[in-house]
Amino acid sequence: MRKFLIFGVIIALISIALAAESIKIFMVPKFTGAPYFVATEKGAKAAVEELKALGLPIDFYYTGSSVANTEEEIRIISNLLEQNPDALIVSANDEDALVPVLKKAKQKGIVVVTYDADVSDPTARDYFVNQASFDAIGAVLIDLVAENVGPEAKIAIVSADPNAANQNRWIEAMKKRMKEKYPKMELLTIKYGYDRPAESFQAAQDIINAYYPNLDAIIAPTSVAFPMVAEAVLKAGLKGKIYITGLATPNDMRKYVKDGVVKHVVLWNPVDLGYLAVYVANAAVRGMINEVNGTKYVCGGKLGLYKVYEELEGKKSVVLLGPPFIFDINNIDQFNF
Amino acid sequence: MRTFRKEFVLLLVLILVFVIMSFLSKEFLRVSNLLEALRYAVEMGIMAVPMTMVIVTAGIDLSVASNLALSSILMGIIWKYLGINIWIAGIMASILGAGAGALNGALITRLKIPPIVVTLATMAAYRGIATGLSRGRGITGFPESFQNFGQGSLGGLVPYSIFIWIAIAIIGHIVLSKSKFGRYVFAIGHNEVGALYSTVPVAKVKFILYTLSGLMAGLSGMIYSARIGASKSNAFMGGELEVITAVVLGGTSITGGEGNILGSTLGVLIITFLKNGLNLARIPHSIQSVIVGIVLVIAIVSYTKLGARAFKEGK
Repeated sequence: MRKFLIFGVIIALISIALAAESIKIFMVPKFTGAPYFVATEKGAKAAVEELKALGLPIDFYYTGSSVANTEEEIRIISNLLEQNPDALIVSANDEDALVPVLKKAKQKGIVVVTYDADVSDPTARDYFVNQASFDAIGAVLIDLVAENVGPEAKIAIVSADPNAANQNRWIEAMKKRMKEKYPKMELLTIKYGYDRPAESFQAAQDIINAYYPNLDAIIAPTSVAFPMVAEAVLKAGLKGKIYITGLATPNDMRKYVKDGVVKHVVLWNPVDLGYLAVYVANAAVRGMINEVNGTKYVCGGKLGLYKVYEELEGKKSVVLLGPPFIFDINNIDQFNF
Repeated sequence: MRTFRKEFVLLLVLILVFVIMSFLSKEFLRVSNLLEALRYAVEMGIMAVPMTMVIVTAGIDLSVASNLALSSILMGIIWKYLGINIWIAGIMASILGAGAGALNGALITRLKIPPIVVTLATMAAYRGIATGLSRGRGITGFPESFQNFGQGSLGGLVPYSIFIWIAIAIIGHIVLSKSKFGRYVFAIGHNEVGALYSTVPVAKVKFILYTLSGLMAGLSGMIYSARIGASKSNAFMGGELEVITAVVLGGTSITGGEGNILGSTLGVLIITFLKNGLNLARIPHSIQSVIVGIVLVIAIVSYTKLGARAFKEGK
């Protein structure tokens, strides 16, 4: 780790010595009108200020449709290509539809970095700044249950749709973690709420009726089901009797964390995500992604030094933000998204 | 005389947009920028042609964007799972789009259900079928030549798809302003009952119009799929309102009886270049929507003033 730190410092010093020219970076989120993307913008702008102070000026422009709209996102990116930015940072509304316009950008010599939501074709971009790996999310959720209930906990899952790709990957990762680390933990059932509040609530109630008191924990890896599971547990009067955790934003869960029915909410920190995306784009444009013993590294500012994965969970050229973030009663009020 | 004045106003607005935008960013007036911006207006421009005629009859077609998505998915399925050549698949999907439009037409003329109700229902239904068929996943990997049709440009400058738009706009303009069919369309818009009594085949004309609207939506679906290199069920989500906005901005009266293709085409161009210029000038998207809204209101107010004056002059 020390070697990495020294390495990072050297990169910083070299860049100051060069007193580099200003570069142009455009950042296009899925849409602008959501606290989640406002948080990524905040992180991105902090990174721009830091880099400026380091002598690496950036002409930074953050823009996007105010509501999710694939057509508008394609149009905005296409229009902005005319201004020849050095790098584009994009969160794709559609993993396929954005491919041609991003390829066009790459052909013009623009560095393309995706963050938050990648495109399906890895040749359409240079790097993907991934918020959290499936394995890490699955592991954290199971570890939380093990720590709070015990390694022999009996658990149930309320998921979104049986075909929901992300949820299925997370569930696989949870099963893997159980098998490897907690062989006595038992998965009783998986119910689906189809990302609709009423169905999710019903699914949670069905689970409680069918299994309690032989049920210790419920995991909801979707922001629609998670609050509904909390509601169902509250309604059944089982607060404190059933441990609940899952994936959702702090705003979705604030009420339940304050009430005490939910102790831990898992997600990632979007401020850091935006921050890291700018560092990666800046480094890629200025040739500051260095190779050591065949592995590429990129400096992520105050977040530390990052490895560029040649392949991670089926995606190529990935920079992984880090372990998932756990929101609890002590820190949840610092976040508004 | 009145329609001539409307287009004159639109042309002035377009010139004004060009002048203002060229001051706001140095890239705006580049030929490459202007032509590339048009690539993203082609589907809207093509669908605006039959939409103008439909609105002239005091009807509306809210299902065009959903029909575009359905045709896009059908094309992908025909190509991928039936192994049929992509160009033929595209034509077949366009014809299926025409079929979806014909269903609208049949419901409107046979069952006498108002167009807004029929197409509101099929807007949801066609999008739903598209989503069901695709199971939420896109179909990708089209042949290079097909993708080049949507993504490439003649001489590296003029997007190929623009030529289709120009051809359709010219044909549409001639049909609406010069042909007997066009006169029927206006007659229905002015006074449907009167048209019926003066032997205008009202039901047949309407049926043809909604079928044409479906055909153009299907063709746009093919162009769209080539442009983004994928068949998607979420294609052009909300696009029906963009098309209708351009047509209304172009001077077509939503109450029927008035409108023409040149105006609608100018409407598409104004919205496209306005948004393009504002993007280049780094104006936030929320403010862009407000500006487009203001232009629309100004245009419509000036039309009613022009209309009132023409009325006073006894026209």
